[in-house]
Amino acid sequence: MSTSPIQPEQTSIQQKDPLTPNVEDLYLESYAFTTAAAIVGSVDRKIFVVLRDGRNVFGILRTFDQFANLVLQDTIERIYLETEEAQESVPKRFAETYRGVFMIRGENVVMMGELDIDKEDDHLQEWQQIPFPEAEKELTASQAAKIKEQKLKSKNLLTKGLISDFAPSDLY
Amino acid sequence: MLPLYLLTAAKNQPILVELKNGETINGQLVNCDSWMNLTLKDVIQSSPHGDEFLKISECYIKGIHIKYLRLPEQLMDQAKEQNLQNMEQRNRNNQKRRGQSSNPNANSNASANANSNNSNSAPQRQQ
Amino acid sequence: MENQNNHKENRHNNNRRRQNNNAQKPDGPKREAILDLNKYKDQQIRVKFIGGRQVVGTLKGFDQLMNLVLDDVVETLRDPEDDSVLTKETRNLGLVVVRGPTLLTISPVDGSEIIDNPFAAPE
Repeated sequence: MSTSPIQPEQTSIQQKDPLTPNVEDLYLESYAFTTAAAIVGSVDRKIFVVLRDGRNVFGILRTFDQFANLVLQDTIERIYLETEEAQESVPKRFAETYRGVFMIRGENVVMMGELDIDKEDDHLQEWQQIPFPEAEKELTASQAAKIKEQKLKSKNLLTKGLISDFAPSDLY
Repeated sequence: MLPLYLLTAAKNQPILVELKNGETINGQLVNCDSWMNLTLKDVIQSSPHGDEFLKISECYIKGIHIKYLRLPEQLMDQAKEQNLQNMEQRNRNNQKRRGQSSNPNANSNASANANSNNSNSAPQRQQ
Repeated sequence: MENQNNHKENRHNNNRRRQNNNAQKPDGPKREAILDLNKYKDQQIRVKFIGGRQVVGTLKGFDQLMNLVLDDVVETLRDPEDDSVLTKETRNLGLVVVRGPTLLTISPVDGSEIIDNPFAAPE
């Protein structure tokens, strides 16, 4: 799919000339900002998806629909445990688990993108892999702490008449 | 094949549903509709923290509250096979029509109909 | 002229083709209700709501929008700290109309039991 930015003068000239060769490209460009056009290029390729609850999911996109409901195959879920202070003594840790066929409801997707399978694991060189249950436990603990902190904040703000928009299900 | 078609094809297979509140529901898919509402049977419901489990005979889940579903692996292979069979059928029908374009439409459609009906029963028996 | 006739023929054939192919397409998702609430009539059902509330009551009536009428309703209260943890406390609400849009899950109380972790690997 061509990724050149659309220039208004060019397209109007192309529309006027009915014998222009790339009619399909023109159609695709006018749908360029629809969800379907953006996703269809990633079908049968490896993608990553970030969900609203903070999960990072990696898999091969098999099918999708107008709501961006996605079906991934050979999915793995990866947890990245990054500590705020980038110390030497505390290595960055990650954990993976296999999930199989994953159907994600579109409204839960924050963002998704295609992976370059040659480079997708390069960033993990400096990370230490730990078992998944351990990482999961740590993640839920930190999320619970965050939720508690946010709830307290909301309460405090409420006493001052300010409404804080926090949903405990949105942890991304 | 659209996601909802795939889900419909997963009927009578075990699935795992995670809801937006973090609860996971494991069960056999009985039925689903175009809003992704599901009915499951032989269900095990787990709390968000994974500490409490409830076994129930049946459960109805509203689709708008689903975060994601995990489907059985073999479902993808079955769906792919079905797609291939449909494509082959369509190609065969097209070839038939192209071959008989000189004949009256009624004849070609009748024979194509008969063919498609015969081959329709075969794949369904496999399922 | 010939082209126009061919055009008509092609459209005709395309329509027939679609009719034939529909017979082979995989079943699409349905549009009618998939849960027949008649079978739960006068039975105890457990209803979960968006927001986390959980309620048990006898189903007396319902409509296609899944609004329900429940009798002798008992709500199980949750831990004020953590919305997902149920306590042993309950409160009686009597006759209740449940709004369909706020429904999360429906399950019969009959045939439901609390069990230990079924996914834990045997020691």
